[in-house]
Amino acid sequence: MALIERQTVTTAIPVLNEEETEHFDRVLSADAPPMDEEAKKLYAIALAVRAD
Amino acid sequence: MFPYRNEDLRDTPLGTDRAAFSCGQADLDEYFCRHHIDDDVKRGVTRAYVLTNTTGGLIGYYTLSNYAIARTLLSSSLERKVGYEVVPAILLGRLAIQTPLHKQGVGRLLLFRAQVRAVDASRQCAARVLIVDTVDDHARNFYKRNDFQKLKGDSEQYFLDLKWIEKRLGAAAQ
Repeated sequence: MALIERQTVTTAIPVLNEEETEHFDRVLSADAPPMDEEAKKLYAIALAVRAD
Repeated sequence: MFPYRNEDLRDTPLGTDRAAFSCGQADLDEYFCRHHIDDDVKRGVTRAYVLTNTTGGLIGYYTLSNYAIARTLLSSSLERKVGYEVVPAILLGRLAIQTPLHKQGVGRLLLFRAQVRAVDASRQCAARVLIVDTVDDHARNFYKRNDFQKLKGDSEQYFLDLKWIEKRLGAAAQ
């Protein structure tokens, strides 16, 4: 109960402003950052490695 | 030249015979070979994975843990984007490969494999950045070559945005 009260009092939830909202929309729809050919090949291998 | 094909590799939790492992860094070897790593797994403070070839030959290992950092330690541009004072993160605590496999792209593959697991984990329980601990200039240069940035302050930790990694994985999968 004490923990809940403390969080209620001290936690200010940040709200995205218009500029930040535009930023995230842009980032989420953007292309991947550039990478060299070796990196692209190794990322593909890393995704294909059999995992347990 | 990278010495393996996709189908040659397996990424599994601990269990492989490790006695002969050597990466050239005594503390990383001791942590892995003398079973300190098992103790940390038992304590629940890390998950450890080994990369092997199809015959069980040990290539390298890495460890991942949940983590958190103060947002003020991030680059200014990222600091402004995360909102909260404490940023959820994943720590790549240790990463090492066998000495004979150095300078063939294998370390980079192991790093990318750890990134795949970190992104998967962040989809289940949110994390914004991947943090690495660096022990020497060799390690620091390795991570810098692979796009990590130093955290602000005096620590020798570096970070990479997991959203950025996720985009790269998406591009590589196409």
